[in-house]
Amino acid sequence: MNRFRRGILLFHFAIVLFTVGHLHEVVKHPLVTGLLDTYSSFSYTNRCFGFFSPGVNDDLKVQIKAYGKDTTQVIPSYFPDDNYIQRLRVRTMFAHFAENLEESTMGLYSRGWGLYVINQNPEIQRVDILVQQNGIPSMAAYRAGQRIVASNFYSTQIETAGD
Amino acid sequence: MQFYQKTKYLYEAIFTFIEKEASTKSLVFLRVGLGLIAILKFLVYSPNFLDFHGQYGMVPWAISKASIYPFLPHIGDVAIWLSDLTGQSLDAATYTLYFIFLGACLSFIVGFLTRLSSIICFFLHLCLIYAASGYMYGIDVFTQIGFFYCIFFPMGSNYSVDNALRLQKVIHRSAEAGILKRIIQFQLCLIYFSTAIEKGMGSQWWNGEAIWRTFMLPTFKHFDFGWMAHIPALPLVMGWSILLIEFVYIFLVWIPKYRTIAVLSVVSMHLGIGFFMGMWLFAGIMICFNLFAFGEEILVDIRAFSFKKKPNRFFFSFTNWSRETA
Repeated sequence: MNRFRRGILLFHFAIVLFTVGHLHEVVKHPLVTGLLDTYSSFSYTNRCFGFFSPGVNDDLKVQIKAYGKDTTQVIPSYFPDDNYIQRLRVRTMFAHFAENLEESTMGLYSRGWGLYVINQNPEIQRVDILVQQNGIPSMAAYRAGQRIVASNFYSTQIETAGD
Repeated sequence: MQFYQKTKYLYEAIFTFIEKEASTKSLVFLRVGLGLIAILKFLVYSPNFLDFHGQYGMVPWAISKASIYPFLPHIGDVAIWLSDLTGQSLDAATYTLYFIFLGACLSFIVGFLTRLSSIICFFLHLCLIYAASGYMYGIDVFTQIGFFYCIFFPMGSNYSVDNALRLQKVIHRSAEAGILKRIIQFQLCLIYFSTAIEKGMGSQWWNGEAIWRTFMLPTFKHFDFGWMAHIPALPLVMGWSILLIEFVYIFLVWIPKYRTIAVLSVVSMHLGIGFFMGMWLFAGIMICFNLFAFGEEILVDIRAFSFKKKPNRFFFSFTNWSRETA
């Protein structure tokens, strides 16, 4: 392997090590951050791989109710769940929804879901979205009789512009 | 001067280690494994493809496009371009790109125009996952890593249609195969080591709560593990085992005596993730990477063990380097 290719290889692993070692959190120069982000965006190699670390968070579930003109009648709507992998993807989306607890991100996702449901049936005029968090009890609490409790996390209403 | 000599010695030693020739059969293994998993992970939601990647999917293009850097490729941009070019609707253009991706994966698996196929796979996979960044998890990240590396290496150098058509000379062993193996080996070592450190920084993996919570989360719930709360030592031991397996991987895989145990432990861990959490595709790609990275060495170790040959006690052999520098 010639020197050029060796240089590329060293550069690559320097970048990977830099990110894995969390050095990007110390060196916050825009040039460094830009380089790392760009490289990561294409190669995906320099990322912090922390599966379920430092701990496992509570997961979320989403309830969607769609209504037409008559707001007492719920119109059936769905998220794809033909198989486990689809459900896993949808649940992953719920996790991304709350990833940074940013109101703007949650707003964007919920608008996307609202639009998705409205497109399923032309009669739908209003979509109520309720996101709930499944609180997992500790082992000790479970032994004492506590079970998974769903608590309200986020709710919004998406409406069409009207007639 | 002495410092310069030592640095040069170290530099040569490192690259002798990295550039050690390996069988190109391992490239075939990675090519087929990666290609099959890439196809499977899309086929499982093929009927609802537009719900995940379409213009008005659960995360519409307007939102997924806004959440990435403007210079990054997005399936929406390519579909709009294709739609303008062919007159197809945007949904039809998105499906066309999906089928092109599947075709490129098949072409990559059989080794037909392998380099071009890997570039198309890399690019379209990137476009697809950016349109679906809202649903992205480990499998997508590792598939992308795999395609990224495959662009730079001669994946079609053995058992490929390119060989049959004489577009590519058959090569049985090559330094490139060895380099890719080393790259994946380093990458895996860094991944497991960093994840072990990050897990270890929290308390959940030390007191068993992480395992308990993982099994109890409705997202991953396949079986009722409520009984586990009454045997807290079990999740505690499992949590410690995972920390140990991931932490020691980076050290043990370089020692032939322990390599098989280290890799088999990690493979078992991924099989467990597949079985208990239903993440079979993620487990599949991690096992594929591990077997590609260390499979050949493990076979040598097992052969050496069965013939009662003394395995190499050192981390790596300097034989090639000594020969070159003699």
